[in-house]
Amino acid sequence: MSGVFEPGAMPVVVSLAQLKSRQAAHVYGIDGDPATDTDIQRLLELGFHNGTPVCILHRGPFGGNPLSVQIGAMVVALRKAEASRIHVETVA
Amino acid sequence: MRAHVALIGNPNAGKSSLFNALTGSRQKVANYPGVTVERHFAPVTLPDGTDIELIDLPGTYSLDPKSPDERVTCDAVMGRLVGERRPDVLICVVDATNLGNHLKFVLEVRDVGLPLVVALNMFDLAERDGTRIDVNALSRELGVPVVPTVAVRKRGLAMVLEAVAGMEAKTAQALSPSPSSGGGIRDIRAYQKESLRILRKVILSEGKQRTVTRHIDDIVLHPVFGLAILALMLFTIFQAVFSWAQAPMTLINTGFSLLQQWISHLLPAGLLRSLISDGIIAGVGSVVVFLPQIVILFFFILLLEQTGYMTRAAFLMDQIMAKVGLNGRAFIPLLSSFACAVPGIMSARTIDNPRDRLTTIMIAPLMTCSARLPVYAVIIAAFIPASTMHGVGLQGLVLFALYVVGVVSAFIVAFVLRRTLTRGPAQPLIMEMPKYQWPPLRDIIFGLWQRAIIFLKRAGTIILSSMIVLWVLSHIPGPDLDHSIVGWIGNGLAVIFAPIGFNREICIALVPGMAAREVAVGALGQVYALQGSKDAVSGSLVQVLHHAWSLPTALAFLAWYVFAPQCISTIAVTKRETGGWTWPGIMFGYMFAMAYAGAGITYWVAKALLG
Repeated sequence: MSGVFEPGAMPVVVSLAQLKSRQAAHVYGIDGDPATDTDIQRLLELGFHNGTPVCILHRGPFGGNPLSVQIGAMVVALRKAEASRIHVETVA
Repeated sequence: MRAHVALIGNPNAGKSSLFNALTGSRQKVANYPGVTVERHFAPVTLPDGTDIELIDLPGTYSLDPKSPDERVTCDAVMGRLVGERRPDVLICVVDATNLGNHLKFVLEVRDVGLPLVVALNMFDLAERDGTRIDVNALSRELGVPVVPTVAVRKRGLAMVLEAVAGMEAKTAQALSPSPSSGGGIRDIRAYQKESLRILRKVILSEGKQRTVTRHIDDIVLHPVFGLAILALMLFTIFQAVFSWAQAPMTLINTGFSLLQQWISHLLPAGLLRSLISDGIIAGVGSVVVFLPQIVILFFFILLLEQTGYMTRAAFLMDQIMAKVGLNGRAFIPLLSSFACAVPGIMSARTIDNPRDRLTTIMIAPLMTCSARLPVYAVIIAAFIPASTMHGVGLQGLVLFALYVVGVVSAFIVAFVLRRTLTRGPAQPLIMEMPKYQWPPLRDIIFGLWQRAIIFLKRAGTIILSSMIVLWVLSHIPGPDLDHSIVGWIGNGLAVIFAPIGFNREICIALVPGMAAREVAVGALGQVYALQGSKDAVSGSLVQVLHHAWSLPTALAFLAWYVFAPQCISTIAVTKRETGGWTWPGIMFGYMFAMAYAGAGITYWVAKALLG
C-alpha cells in the first residue's frame, strides 16, 4: 500500500467521512467490536479490511449524504455516520 | 434419488445468470416452505447422463446471516431448512473481476465440507481488464475444481457440469472432509488473511479497473442531474404503462367481446349462458385485459434491477426515506410494490433491520399496485372528462394524483409507525452498488414470462372461482339479485357504507374484491350485467357506471381504493413474513380506517361543493 503516497509525505489517520472526494487512502481500522456489531461484520464482508484502498466517489444530493465509496474493486453506499467509524490512512 | 446441486455466491456474482444459462426454460419458481423467499430450481442432465436438480440459492455475503433471505441460504447449506434436502454438491459462483473480495466467501463455503465446484464467472471481463488469474494454482490452493465461466455468453457451462459430475462420483464414496476445514466456520478476518495469501499466488497481473461505471455514476448520482434523471425515469415508466398498453388492451377486449358473441350464438338464452357470458367472461375478461400494463411495469422494474440502476435510485432517495425513519434500501421494495405489493413485501427480506423491514412491509400496500389500475381506469374513464388542462390530460392528472396520495400517506404512516410500534434506532445504510451491466434479453424475458404466468394463474384460479361463486350466490335462493344471498349481503353492508356514499352494487363488489382488488371491477361488471344492463361487459361498464353513480360516489370509491385493505394475497404474505396475525391485523385495521375516512371525507366534500 505504500506506493499510494509520495515519498516523504507524512501519512495521517482520519475518519473516512473526513476525506475529500477522490482522495486516496487505505483502511486503518474500524471502531467497535466485530464479534457483536453486525454493521461492522457487514463492512468487513464488503471488504473494509485494514490495508484495502478506499476513496469517496460521490456524495448524495441532500446534505452530501450518503457517500458512494470505492473499496477495493467494489463500490459501497454508506452514510456519513457509518463512514466516521472507519479510520483511514492518507496524506494530508 | 436425484442429487441436489445448489448455486451459492455473493450478490452480483452473476449467479442467477449462470442458473438461467444452465437451465434455460426448464426452470420453475416456488417458495421455500414457510417463508416467501423464492426458490428457483430446474432439472439438469450432466454430461455423463445422470439427472440432477439444480437450485439457485439467494445471494449472501457470508454464512453468518444478517437478513431473512441470507438465512435461507445458510440454513439450506447447513441442512437446517425444514422440508428441504441438504444439497449434495455446491457450485460457488465468484466474480473474477472482484476476486479480492469474493475469495473469502469461497473459503467460508469450503469449510462447510460439502463437495464444491468454483465457477470463476465474468472471466472475459477480468481478462479484458488485464487481470490474469492462474486458474490451476487457484484450484490447487483451494483443493477444489475451478472453472472459468462467462454466464451471459454461455461459456464454460459444459465444464462446470463435468466438474459437478466428477464431484458426484466422489460423493458416492465416503465423503472425506477437506483437510483445511479444521473447526467449521471461522472468523471473517481469518478468511480475509487466508484469501490475501492465496491471491498473492494466483493473481499473475493486476488489471486496470474499468471506470465506465464511475463515469456513468458521475451523471446518475449527480445532485441535480441524478434526481432529474430519476424523476424522468419514473415519469416515463408510468407513461409507458398507459400508452404502450393501449393497443394490446383493445385487442384483448375485442377478443373477449367476440367470445361472448360466439357463446350467445352457441347457447340458448338461460342460466348456463348467463353463467358463462355474464359470470365468467365479463368477470375474468375485465381483469385479464390488464395483463399488458402489468407486463410493461414489470419489464421496467426488472430492467432497473438487473442493470444495477435500482441501487442508485436507493442512494438518491436515502435521505428522503431517512426523514420518515427508513433508509434508501426500503425504496426498492416500495418501487416494486407499484407492480404488486406481494413481491414488494417479499423483497423487503433483503432489509437487515427487523423494525425497518416491518415498517416497509406495513406501508408497501399503500403504493398503488397494478391491481388498483383496473379500478382507477374504469372510474376515471366513466367520470373524468377526457379534456386537457394547459395541455395536460385531465384523466392522467387524476390518476397521477391518486398515486401521489398513496405515496404521501405511506410516508405519513411510516413516520407514525417509527415513532410508535416500530420505534428504535435508525438502521445504517450499507449497500453494495454493483457495476452497471446490460442484462441478457433472455433473463428479462424469463422474468416477464414468470410474472405473466403468475398473473394469468390468478385470473384462472382466484378470480375465476370468485366470479363463479358470486354468480351462484346471486342466483340462490331467489331467481334474481334482489332475492339472493348476494343481494342480502349487499343490503346489509349498505347500512355500514351508505354514510360514505356507497350504493348496494359497490358493497356487493367489495366482498369478492377481497380475493384481489381488481376482482371488484369484474364483480361490478357481473352485477350490472345481471341487473339487465345488457352490455355491461368490460368495455361498456364505463357507460353503465356513468349513468348509475353520482360523481361524489365515484370519487369516494376512488378514495376508498387508494387505501383499500382488500387483498387476501397481501394479508397472507404479510402473515407469513411477520410470522403471525398481529401485523396483518394491524395492517388491515389501519387501512380500513383510512379507506373509510378517506372515502367519507371525499364524498361529503364533493357533495357540498357540487351541490
